[in-house]
Amino acid sequence: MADTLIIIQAMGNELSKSNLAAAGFGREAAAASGGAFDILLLGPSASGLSAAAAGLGGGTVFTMSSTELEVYTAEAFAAAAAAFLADHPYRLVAAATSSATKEYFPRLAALLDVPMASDVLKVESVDPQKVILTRAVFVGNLLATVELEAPQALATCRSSEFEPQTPGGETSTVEPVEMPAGLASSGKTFVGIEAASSDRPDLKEADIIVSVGRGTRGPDEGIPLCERLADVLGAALGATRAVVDAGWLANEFQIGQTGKIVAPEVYVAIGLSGSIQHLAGMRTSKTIVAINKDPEAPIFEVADLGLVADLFDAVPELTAALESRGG
Amino acid sequence: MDELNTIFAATVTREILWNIPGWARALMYLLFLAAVALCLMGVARRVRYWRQGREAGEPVSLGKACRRLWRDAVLQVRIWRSGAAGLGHALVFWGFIVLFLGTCIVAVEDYGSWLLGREHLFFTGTFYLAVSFALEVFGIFFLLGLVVALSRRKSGGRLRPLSRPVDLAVLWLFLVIGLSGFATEGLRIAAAGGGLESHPFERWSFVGWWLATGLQGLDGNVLTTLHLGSWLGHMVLSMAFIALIPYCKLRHIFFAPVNIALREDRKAGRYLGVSMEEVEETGRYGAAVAADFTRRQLMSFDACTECARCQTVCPATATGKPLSPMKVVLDIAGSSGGGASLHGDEISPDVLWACTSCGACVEECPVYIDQLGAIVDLRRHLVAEGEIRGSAQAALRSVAAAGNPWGMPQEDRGDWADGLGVPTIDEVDSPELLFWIGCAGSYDRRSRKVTEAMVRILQAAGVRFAILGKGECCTGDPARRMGDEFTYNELAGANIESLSAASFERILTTCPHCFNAIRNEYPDLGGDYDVVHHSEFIEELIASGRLVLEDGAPVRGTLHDPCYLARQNDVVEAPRSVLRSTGLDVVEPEQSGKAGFCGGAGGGRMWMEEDTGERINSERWSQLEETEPETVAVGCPFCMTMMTDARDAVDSSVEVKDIAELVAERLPGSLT
Repeated sequence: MADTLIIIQAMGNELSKSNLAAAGFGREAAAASGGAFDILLLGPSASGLSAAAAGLGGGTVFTMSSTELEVYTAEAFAAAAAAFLADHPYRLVAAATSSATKEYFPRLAALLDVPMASDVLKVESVDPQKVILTRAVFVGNLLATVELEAPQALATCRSSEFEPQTPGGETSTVEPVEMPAGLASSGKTFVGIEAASSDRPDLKEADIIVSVGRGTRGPDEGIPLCERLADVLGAALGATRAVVDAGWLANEFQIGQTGKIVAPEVYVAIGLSGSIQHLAGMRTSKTIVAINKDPEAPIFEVADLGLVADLFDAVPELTAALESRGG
Repeated sequence: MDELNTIFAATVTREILWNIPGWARALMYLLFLAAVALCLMGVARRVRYWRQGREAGEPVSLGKACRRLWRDAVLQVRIWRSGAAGLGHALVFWGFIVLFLGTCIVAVEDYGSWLLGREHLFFTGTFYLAVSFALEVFGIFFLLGLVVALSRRKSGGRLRPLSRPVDLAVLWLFLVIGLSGFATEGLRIAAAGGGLESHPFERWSFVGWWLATGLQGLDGNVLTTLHLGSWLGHMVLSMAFIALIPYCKLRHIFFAPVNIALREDRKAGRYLGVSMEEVEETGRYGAAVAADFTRRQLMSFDACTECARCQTVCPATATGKPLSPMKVVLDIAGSSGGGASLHGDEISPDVLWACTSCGACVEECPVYIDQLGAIVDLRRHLVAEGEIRGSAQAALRSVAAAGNPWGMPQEDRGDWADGLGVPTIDEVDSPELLFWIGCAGSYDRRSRKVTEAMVRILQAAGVRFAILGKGECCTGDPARRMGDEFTYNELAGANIESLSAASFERILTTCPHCFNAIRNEYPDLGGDYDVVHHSEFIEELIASGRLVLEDGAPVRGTLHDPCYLARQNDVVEAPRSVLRSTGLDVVEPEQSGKAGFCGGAGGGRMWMEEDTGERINSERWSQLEETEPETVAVGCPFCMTMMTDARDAVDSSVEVKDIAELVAERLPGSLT
């Protein structure tokens, strides 16, 4: 008898690594309770992903999709999961820690009036009276053992701590479930997503990053020059905190201690001095190239290649040289 | 002659409760009993609230308590720091005290003579006249003080007090009580015993006398009716005041002196520690509910006068952050206690993380409330609950894992010293100085220049010094300010071990945060060292003639005081004296010294985004720019970052330099 349910947000066309790890959590929980685990796929790709999910070692794979679940909203996902659990009383319900589960799992816990532990690292025991889990507290300095004393409990699990299950042969039965209509009428309507469209690669994944500092003097002066360079290199665009603070580029471009931490193959730092706050976000880049007119700029101390020059001359020249070579 | 005196003494007095019928007297006693009962119930409720707190801290000796009361309750030294507020409060306070004593004298006279069966006790003759005169004078003081308080609420100004309905209601309540007191007196003098001529000595009650002369033409019945009405008003409002004391900000009348006398003796820069053992034993870390505070803390929150000075000087409040130190104190005091969580919409993580731990609130509070201590206790709870996210959490992790907040390799810590001829502690036998570099001074390229300047100064002065090199790690300051005691304890423990294994006379540091931690907090963990900030040490070197600086053209400049130097550690004069020695003409900004305005990087804010309101560093920069400086001197690596960023944001050409750099520029042979 399955007593653990793993909920997977079914979006896109493959199961993410964190969801494979959540199945690992399911396996551990099932071992602890002496039972088995089932999977609930929630979302538009539920049936599409059911074949892969069926190979994760669970008993049954339930699929639930509806127009309300077409796009993610916490209200709809919490309501759908609650509706499913009303007919299927699992002992322990879990999902991978993610920004979505951080939002909708507490709602689900409130709807069901059951206890919940977030970002769990380990399953200690699962028995009818209580579930014992381990989670980190004090910024990871201490491990807390949490006892959830209730007939039903919720948990989110940290994916790095559980063995990702590899989809094998289909062993689970797949069972579609209907989502009761009108569940997600929370007064909140999904209007649309306005994604910042850019042809450039994502900062976190880019092999090359062109990063701009205050020396570029803003979006009307140096930044377009650097953007052209980035396009020629197929690079992502990054920026220092000062550039973002000045409103020249949006927050998502910020690299540094309080922005994104990156480590590309090549990091081209243009018109930025290299404050420690910035270095903390990029110093592990493989090759650092710096262009700055101030030979004293600290960025030169970490740079593998440095060019002391006015970026307004050097960047267009470099772009032209790369273009001619490419063309 | 004796006979005359007797007649005189017998006549120079007044009939207590003249014109007050029995029912009104009965009403007065009833209301008085009710008011006192309500007041005592309110006080008892507050005391019960405090008693849920933990017992902690050393008791205060009687002598010390008396000295404190004399200085801050009687002389009100801290309130006087703001002139108008000091004047207003002193007038109301002393007016109130003397009027209260006057009422007591009247009561003792009344009941005493009744008990002893005598017509009078002592409220006659010269004494009567003296008391009457004093009450007039202090009654005027009382009213004047209220006028000052009301006008301060009308006028602008930086320390403008709050004008919520409750603030105005309290002032108007006092004003009406004071005015009705005078009116009652005037009406009595005009009407009693057939008018003014029957008691010419009442001229001593000059306000009442003046009012009475104006009322003379009125009919006797009208006067007595008005008198009774005025007396009733005065009496009812006075009783209302007594009843209200423990239920609103008036409770500071009781609790502020208690807190002034019994407060804990602790610098704002020295936090009370929590050990892992304590947490394991009690399961308590930080403040989740009111009972997690100490009794003394809970009592201190009730001392709040709601004067709002703390939030006026708070850099977070001033720049539009959701934090007001006063509101945190009031939210705690207003919580229902028991198991009710203090954290929520009012005391939210955004509120708590907005604090720069600059201590301006603590320094400013006239009644010695430790708002910062409360905020840190609440932050500790957030850390325990994982309510610390993003870059702040990343910095904490780096501090814990790498020993510095930027996650730089420990191996590289001493790299800056390459080729500078700086020995490590194992290379020098008992040096005069151990130069504590700190993380910024070791890794931050800009701060390294300050470290190097300091090395040149030490070498020029022939000081035997050494560094710990790789044996040094973060003091734990950022972790502690952010509420992570465990990381602090670990780092501080490691440093104390390294320091105690070394032999040296003093520790020198260019970072006020390191300075504060080592000076004020390491002793609690068994590390007792003589530590100086570089501004103090350079001042000593110059004074003793070991360091001679070359003269150069004077430069107009200003100093941005580091909070952890000036405010938390009283080092105010040393940096100024050193700067003057370098030829800097120091022009003070409006907020300077112990009242300096934070640069925005303390309390872990260095590693957090500032996405609400104005930027604190930009606000500070514009204050500094008002002095029209060519150079802004700083004495802290974090201030250096914040001031440089703020300068660059406005494309200013003013130089931002550390004190050490300005001194190094004047070393013999450095001037070009």
